Amino acid sequence: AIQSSRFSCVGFPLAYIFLACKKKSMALKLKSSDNKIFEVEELVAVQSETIKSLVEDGCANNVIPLPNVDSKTLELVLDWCKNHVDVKLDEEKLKEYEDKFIEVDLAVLYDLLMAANYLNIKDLLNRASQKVADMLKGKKPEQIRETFNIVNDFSPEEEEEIRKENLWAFEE
Amino acid sequence: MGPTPSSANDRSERKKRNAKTTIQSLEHDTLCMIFTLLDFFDLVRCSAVCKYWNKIINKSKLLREFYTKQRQNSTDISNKSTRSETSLKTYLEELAMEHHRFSLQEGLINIDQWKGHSVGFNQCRMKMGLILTGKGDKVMRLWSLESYKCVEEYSVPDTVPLVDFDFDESKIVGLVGTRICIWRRNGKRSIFPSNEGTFVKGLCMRYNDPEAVVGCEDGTARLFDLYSRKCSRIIRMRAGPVTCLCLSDDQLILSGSSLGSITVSGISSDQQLATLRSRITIGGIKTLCYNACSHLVFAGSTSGYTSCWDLRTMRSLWETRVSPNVVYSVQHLRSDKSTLVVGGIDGVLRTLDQNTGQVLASCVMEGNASSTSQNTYGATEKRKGRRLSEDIPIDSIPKSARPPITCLAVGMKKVVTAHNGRHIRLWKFNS
Repeated sequence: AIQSSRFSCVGFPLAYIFLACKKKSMALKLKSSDNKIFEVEELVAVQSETIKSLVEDGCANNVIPLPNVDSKTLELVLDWCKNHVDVKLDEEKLKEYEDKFIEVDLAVLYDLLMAANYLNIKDLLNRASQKVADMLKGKKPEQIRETFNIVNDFSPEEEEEIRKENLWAFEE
Repeated sequence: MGPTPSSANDRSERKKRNAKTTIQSLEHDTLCMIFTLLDFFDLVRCSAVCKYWNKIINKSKLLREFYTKQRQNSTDISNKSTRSETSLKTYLEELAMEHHRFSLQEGLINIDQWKGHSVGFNQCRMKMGLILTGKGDKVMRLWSLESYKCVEEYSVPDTVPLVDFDFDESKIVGLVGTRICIWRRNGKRSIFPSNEGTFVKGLCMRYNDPEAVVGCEDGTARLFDLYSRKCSRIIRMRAGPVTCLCLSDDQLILSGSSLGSITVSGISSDQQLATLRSRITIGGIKTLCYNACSHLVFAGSTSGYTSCWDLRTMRSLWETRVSPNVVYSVQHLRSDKSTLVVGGIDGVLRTLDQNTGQVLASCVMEGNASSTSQNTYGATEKRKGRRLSEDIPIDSIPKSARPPITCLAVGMKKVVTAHNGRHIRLWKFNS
C-alpha cells in the first residue's frame, strides 16, 4: 500500500525518490523515550514501516523521536532488524536466532509487542504474538490468569454462566 | 500512551516506565492479533479469563469466523444464514464434538500412564480436569489431569470395602459397605452415618444432589437423601440383583440387573415405568449410561454386547456384540451425540457410533503394558496407542498388551482407563 501511494502521490518529484534511494547507506538517528540516541543504518531502520514512511516523507533528516519505545526495548528491536536485513541469511540460522531472541521475560515480551506494533515491524509482531499464543494454548482460564497475572473480575455467577454456555471447552 | 519526548525527563514519567509492563498494557489490536492465532477451544477459554478479554473475543468476529469457514465447507449452506448468537454457541459445540469424534476415530494415540495406587484399583471417574481413582485400595486419589499429580487423597475405613463412588466440585460420595459416605473436598471432615445405611448389600451407587440411589443385591433400588441420610424410598425391580444404575436429568432411574433386564422407574414413585427389552439374550447388564442430549440409553453386558435404547419410545435401537467377553464400561462425552467408548475384559478400547452401534475404532497400547510395574510414584511413562484393523483376531494380540479395562471415563479427545492394576492410563487422541 505504501509502495503504491508513493507513486500515486501527485506532484511528488521523481528526483526526490532517487535521492531517498541513494541515501540507503546513510545512518538514521533514533531517539528512545528515555532520550537515548541510536545511530542505525537506514536499511536496518526501514524494516519498521513507521520509520520507512517517515523516511519517504523526508522527515528523517534529523533525529527521529520514538516516544513509545524505551532504550532497552529499542536495542532489542534494532538487533532483530539487523538480523533480518540480510535476506540471504540461511533459514535455519534465522529461525535459531528468532527462537533465542523471543526467549524473554513476559514484561519484555509485552514491550516488544508494543514496540513492534508501534513501529509496525510485521515479522517481529508475528513472532512475539505467536509466542504469547503458544503460552495460551491448552490452558484453562485459571492457569492463564496465573501465567499472565490477570485479575479475575467476573462474579462467580458470570463465570459460571460462561462455563455453562461452553461446557465442551471447559470439561476435560 | 507513552511519554512524549518533552516530558520524558520528568521523574514521575520515568518511574512509570520502569514499572513492569503487563499483558493488560497491550493494545486491543495486538491482543486481537494474538487471539487470531488460537483455535476455537482456546478462544472460548480465553473469553473466560477476564471481562476485557471476554469483550474483545465476543466483539471480534473470531469465533464467528470459525463458524463461517466451516459453513463454507459444508454442503447445506441454505437456510442457515440467519443464525443467532445462541446458535453460534450451539454450532461451536457441534464443531468441538466433531473434533472429538474425529480424534477418537482417526487421531494418533499417545498414552500417558503412571502408578496411581500401591495395589490394584478398578474404578475411575473424570471431570473438571480431575481424575478420581479407587476401589480395591484403601484410598481414593484425585489426580490433576494437567500434571498427573495426586491433589487429594481420601481414605476408606479399614473394615468395609468401597463399592462405588463418584465426585463433584465439593464432595466425594461413596458407597462403603452398606453405607453412603461423604468426603468434603475442602475440609478433612467426612460424614459417616452410624447405622442408618441399608442392611442389604449394595452393588452400585449413583447420586444426583440431593439424592443417591443404591442398587442392591435383593433386587431393589434404594433412594437416600444425602444429607438426612435417610432411606426415602425402596423401589423393587422385577428381577435379580441390581448391578448397575444410571440417573437421567429428569428424575428417572435406570437399573440393570444381573439377569439381563433394564428397568426404568421414577424417583417419585414406587412403580416401575418400563422395561427395556432386548431381542436377543445379551447376558447380565454390567454397565449403563444415559445420554441426556439424545435420550439414548447404552448398556454393556457380560456376554460382550453393547446395546442401545431410545428412552422416549423405550425401543431398542441396536445391539452389537463388540467382544466375546464382558463389557465393563460404556461412556461418552457429556454433550457428544456421536461416539461411545466401550471397554471390557478383552482390553481393547473401542469407539462405537452412538446411532448405529457400528465399531468405528479399536485401539490397544503399543508394546507390553505390564513391563512397567516396578515404576515408582510420580513417574509418567509415555506410550503409543495402536489402532487395530477390523479383520485382526483379538487373540493374536498378547494379553499383556491389553490388560482388562475395568472402568473408563471420557473427556474431550481423551479417555482414562483403569485395569485392576496399579496404573492409571490416559489415552490422548490427537486430531
